[in-house]
Amino acid sequence: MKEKTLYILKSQTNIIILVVLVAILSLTIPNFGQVANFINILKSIAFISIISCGMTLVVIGGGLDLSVGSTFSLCAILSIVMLNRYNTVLAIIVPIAAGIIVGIINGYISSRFNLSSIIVTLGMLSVIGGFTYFIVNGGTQVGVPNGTFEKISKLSVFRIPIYVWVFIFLAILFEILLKKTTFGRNLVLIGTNPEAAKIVGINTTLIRTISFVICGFSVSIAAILLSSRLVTAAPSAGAGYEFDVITALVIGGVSLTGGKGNIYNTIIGAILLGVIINALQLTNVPFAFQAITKGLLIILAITLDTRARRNIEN
Amino acid sequence: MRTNRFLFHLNEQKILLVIIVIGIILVSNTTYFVSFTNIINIFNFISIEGIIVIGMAYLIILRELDLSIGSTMALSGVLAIYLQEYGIAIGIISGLLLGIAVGFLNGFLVTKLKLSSIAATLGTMVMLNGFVFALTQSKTVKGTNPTFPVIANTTILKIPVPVIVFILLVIIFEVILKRTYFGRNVYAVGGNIIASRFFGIKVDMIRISAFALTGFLAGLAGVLLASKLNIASGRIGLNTAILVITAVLLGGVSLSGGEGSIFKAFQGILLIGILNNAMVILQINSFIQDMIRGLILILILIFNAVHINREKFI
Repeated sequence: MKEKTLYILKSQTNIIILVVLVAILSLTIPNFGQVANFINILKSIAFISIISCGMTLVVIGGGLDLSVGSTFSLCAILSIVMLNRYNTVLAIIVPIAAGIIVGIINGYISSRFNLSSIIVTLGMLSVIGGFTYFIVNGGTQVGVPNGTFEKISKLSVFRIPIYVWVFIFLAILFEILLKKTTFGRNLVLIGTNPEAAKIVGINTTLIRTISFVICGFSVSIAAILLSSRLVTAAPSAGAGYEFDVITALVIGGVSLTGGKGNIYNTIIGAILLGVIINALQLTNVPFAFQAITKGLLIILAITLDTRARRNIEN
Repeated sequence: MRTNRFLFHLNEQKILLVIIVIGIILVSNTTYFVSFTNIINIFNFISIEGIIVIGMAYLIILRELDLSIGSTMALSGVLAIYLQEYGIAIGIISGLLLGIAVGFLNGFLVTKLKLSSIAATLGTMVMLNGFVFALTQSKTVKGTNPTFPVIANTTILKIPVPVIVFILLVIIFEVILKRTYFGRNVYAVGGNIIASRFFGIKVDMIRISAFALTGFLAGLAGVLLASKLNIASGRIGLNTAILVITAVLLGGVSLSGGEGSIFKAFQGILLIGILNNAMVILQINSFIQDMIRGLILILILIFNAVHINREKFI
């Protein structure tokens, strides 16, 4: 019983911090508390958050996907290349297929051979990166607007752009997947105790591969939306995204050791990060110090998380 | 029995075999490959990262990992270039001290605050990157002192200084690992940390020393690279972590800890150097080179999977 209260308290600390922070910032920084600024924050975190939702599933299953950045670049490039050569439909389908294929490779290799997914996806990072640069010969792809593709990201409902809605939709979908389906429960068990999961008869290879596929899928969705917004794609588009995504997860309190966390945590983490970065931007703090702050936040978040977990264990 | 033993030895030396095979293929193409100039080229290419590989091998034997080496290297280089105006020695010493400080910080976070090394060093990495960008303002900075670039560009008996430093460090740290109490304790802690504690080994001291060593070597590599190129830039060190970890694992040091040697890690980085050299000689597209490097990492992992038990790292 006590464990449960502690656990719930711990999972609520992030939202408490977020609310307090937003209240303080709204009072101290002019322009921060406006609706337009909150929409800005949501817009700025939408792409990273879509990827983070997929990554959460991988991390809960005890893995980590470091190739999301280069997969993002690949999908963005493919989207623009397909748009220029063929049509809007292929500009959407081909990147999704690519994201799913990358997920299958990552998930199958790491779970079938019991390899550390960090190292496998580190290898995939350079394979996909090299491939992406190779197909466009290192050049940025400028798309030719065809009247449909670039309109996708311009859609908005209640002044909130479509990609924010996609993010909210995927977040709810993945949370349901995680909490209400057999797949989700099996994934949590695999992340907590892979040996036990195997003994119980769960097909760990399949479940883990699916989690990587979902991650690849959400990366491709984010990439297509960004391509549609910019109608340009650089082979370096997603460089470093993996670290931003992991930062959001860690700050939200998703445990990197697997088995613990949910999409809700991730979103709070992403919003918290977005709010802090936004506040730094509004107060004209140089970009470099934003990075320093981000690093400090990661260390702080991990420390708090480790402390909390030890308290629960004791 | 005998064939088993033979296979065992074959497996132990497979990197050397791969190197020999590549050598034979290349020599049948061009004898330039085995010329003295080319061999020096290979070593020159790997010497900077090779220095860090030594520290990373210690960490991986201890079941730890350091992702912050690239940014440590960049920041040391920046310090060495920036503080030249107060004297070369000050620049170099502050670069080295910074490396040691980062190493101690990582060690502190991992041992005292009990954070996972991947997460903790990810934090320091992002933070150090911020410092690098704060100092360089995202620009490339040239050194002003004419003596500084001389250090790394001097050759002794036609062998460049970084190569000599690299080889000497490999020998010294192989001897320390194999022939001293410290080295034996490193294996013990990596093999079974709880048992080591019971035996009265100062586990935390050993782990902190390994982090400090890695930080110091990253600082040294940063200073040498800055001297070699006579520039400092935030783009330096972006892929170092991937390259260095790949090298150590290629060499056959296992992520599950407790085994491996500096000599093995040396073979790993040498293989990367030779592969790189071979691909340049065979004029393979540089983007394809990235792909091949990643593929080799994944293939070697799968090949090793038979011998490796469960490798769950974080």
